[in-house]
Amino acid sequence: MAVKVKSIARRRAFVENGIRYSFAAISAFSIFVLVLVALFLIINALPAFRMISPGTFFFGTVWDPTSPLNPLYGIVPLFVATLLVTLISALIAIPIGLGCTIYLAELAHPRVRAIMKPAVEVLAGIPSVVLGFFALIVLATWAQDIFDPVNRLNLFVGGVMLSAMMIPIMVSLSEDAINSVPRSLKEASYALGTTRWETISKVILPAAKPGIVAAIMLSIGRAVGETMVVVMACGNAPHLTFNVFSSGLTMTATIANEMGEVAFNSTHYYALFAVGLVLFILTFILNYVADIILNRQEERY
Amino acid sequence: MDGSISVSNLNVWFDTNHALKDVSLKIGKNEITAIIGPSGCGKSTFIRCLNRMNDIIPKCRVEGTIHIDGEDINNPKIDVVEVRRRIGMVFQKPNPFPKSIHENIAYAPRLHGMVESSNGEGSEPKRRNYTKKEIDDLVEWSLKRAALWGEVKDRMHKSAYELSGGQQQRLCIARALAVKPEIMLFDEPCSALDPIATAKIEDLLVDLKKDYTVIIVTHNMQQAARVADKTAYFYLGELIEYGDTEQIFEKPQKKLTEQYITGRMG
Amino acid sequence: MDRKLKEKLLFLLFRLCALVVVATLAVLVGYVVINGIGVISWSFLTEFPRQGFTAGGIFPAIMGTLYLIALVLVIAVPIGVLTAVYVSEYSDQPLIDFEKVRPRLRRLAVTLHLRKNAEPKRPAKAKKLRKRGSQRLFYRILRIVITNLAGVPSIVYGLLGFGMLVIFFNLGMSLIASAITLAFLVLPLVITASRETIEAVPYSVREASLALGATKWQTIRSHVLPYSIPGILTGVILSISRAAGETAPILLTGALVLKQTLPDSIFSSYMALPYQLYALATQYSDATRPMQYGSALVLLLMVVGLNLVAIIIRNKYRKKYRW
Repeated sequence: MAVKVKSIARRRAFVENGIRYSFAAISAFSIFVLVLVALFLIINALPAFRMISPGTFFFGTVWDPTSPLNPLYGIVPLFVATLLVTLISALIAIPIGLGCTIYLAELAHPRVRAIMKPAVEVLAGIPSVVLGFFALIVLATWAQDIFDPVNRLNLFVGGVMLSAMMIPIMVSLSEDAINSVPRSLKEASYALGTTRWETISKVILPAAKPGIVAAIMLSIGRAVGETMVVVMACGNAPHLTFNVFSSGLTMTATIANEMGEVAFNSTHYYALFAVGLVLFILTFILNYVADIILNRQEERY
Repeated sequence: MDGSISVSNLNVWFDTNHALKDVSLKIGKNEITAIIGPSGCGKSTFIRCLNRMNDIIPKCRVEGTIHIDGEDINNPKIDVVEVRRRIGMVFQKPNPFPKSIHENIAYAPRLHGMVESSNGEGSEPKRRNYTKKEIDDLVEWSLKRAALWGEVKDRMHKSAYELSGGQQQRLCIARALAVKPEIMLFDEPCSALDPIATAKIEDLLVDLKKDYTVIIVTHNMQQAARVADKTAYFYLGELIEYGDTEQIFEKPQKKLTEQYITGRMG
Repeated sequence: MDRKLKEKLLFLLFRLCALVVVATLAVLVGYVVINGIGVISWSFLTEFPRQGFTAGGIFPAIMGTLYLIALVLVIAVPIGVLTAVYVSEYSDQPLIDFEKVRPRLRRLAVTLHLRKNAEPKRPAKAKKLRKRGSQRLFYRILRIVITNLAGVPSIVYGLLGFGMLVIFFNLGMSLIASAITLAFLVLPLVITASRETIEAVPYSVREASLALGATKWQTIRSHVLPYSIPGILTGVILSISRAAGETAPILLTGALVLKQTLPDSIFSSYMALPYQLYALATQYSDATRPMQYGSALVLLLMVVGLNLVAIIIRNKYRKKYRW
């Protein structure tokens, strides 16, 4: 090559490298920020375990941080409330979500699907505070008329409302899973003379199972971490109860309710960070496992 | 500067897989060389070495020398961009940009600018931006050269995706020609096309030979026999035989080549 | 039971499930719209609240939410999109190419009198092209961090915003503290959405551009980015709508129930729609109910509107770039 365009090449290499390094710096910054978030949470939660013994924190059945004489920081009632709310919403959301997914992915007319998919996305996009508002004013009244609960605002109301949040997340994620099942598999099954339901239940659902399981886990993760719905609908009484019709205080609601009033550096302050850390770890595990399951699914097809 | 290629002791590894083994050959200017061989024999890897497209594949290692016009293109001091500018490439599947036909062709020339004749040996040539008129002329010239002008001249600003597969492939050829390369590499350019579109591309290849050195990878032996002056047969990463197309097809020297040609394998 | 009958019954059940979902949406939206539509008026949108939220409007809350959206956009989008570009396009090559740097280091060593000559002690293996290592560690870490932080509850981000920004960095209860908190929250979403669209651009397009002699950056700038912008935009809008509707993080970082002035800088506190709805619904009497409905409707319109815009953009461009 007789013509070497040296200066142009050098300038070009300079620009290329400059751009690459700036991109790298920005990515490093965003990772740094995200890791910092996790670290800060852990660092702020640790003092709690110096002030409260881990035994009392993890197994204490009373959460009464504002008692002037003997403040108690037992996470059990909060954990149980979260568990109950999540359980109720999962029991409602999983069957309905699954049915809706199968309808949307396999049965719906394309024109129906073209309307319904955005509808599901819009439902997923409704701010949780609006759901909480609806639960507080309407759903609680309905539940009162039907079930005659202990408290007007209770874990059941929160759970039912949460399911409205879980379903769209579940539907859109598990629909992706069903759509990623290769068409050839479906056609092979039909060619063997099976009915639609047999193909769905014996071929499509088993093939999409990891994705659906991951979708369920991710949506449960969202339910565990949801704040506004439970804070507005569950009544926020920090007692230990297994009755879903009495009011309760979940972990998220505790932080939302109490963080505004605590003194900086107090035991209560760090205790709330400890609750936050428990939430963080819980959702982290759910997400991480779901991610692993999803990755396996991707590798398979 | 005429586009002769001389490859010696070329070795390529993908991670631990030894994809090309000690390949050496010389390709003369204004010839069509066909590279044939069964799938996975290193045909594509070989031509991708010629314009250093293997650079962008992670874990790919290239050893050996490739001289184009006497200059070693694997020399770290050589500008890869310049190598690729001088060597056009057309891929297996038509890959036009999702832009208008005009934009597809104008993209690369705009990027490189126009080289004005350098004043005297050793001094660097000057580059300037093309004027709009020059770009339009260049686009027209490229499309004519790729035998596509007549079919698209009324819809230059429509998306290239609206063209048929064969037209898209000729658009990709025009796009490569617009950069004014000296060598054109074709990586199975007809494998995704129907026989009529294939025939058009083959005519075009023969026509391009006048001005360019053409190297074509193909799995279609009839195609090689129809268009190529020279043919190289690759098997499992090795160059088995290289010679005039007629000789390769009629009197192959090596047993492996003969088996392949007569259809006893691959 | 008969095969066909069983199938019919089951499919009916699935239809019912779908119906329940649509009905839920209809009831929720319908309820807010029916109750809120009567409240909305020009003065409701442009006046400050008066008489304990029983008269006047929600102007400061709307403005507060808009300020927040703008700030979150400015903070999270550039960082998120650029990170996505790096992860998708560059992370397969080592940050530093030692083959190139080594001679320079040797020359540096000579000038520092650490060694005598700049020639390598052992001759380098001849004609060895750069080796691209499996420099994916960074990528793996990023992936784990991003996918998992996307699922962290928003209240935990609120907790962090409070502890880290409001108190530790002493930003106080302010717009900027809330905006950074929300930016933390949406950053993983922006990165994931952008990464997915960037990686959906087929390899053959990049190959075509590189083979024409374009550099990597030129390829990204004139092909990869333009083709993925609709997708990135969709992701960004969805993230922003999420940020606009979030209550838990701003609850702890700067939103006030009532503030009689608009925020005059990014360091002042502010009112925001979701927080106003929460506070009025839980702490005030039924007399503020109309304002609650009005706030809920405006918030819903904003968020759902953003969602619809995103869906429309996506559907429009999905046809244009069908890979």
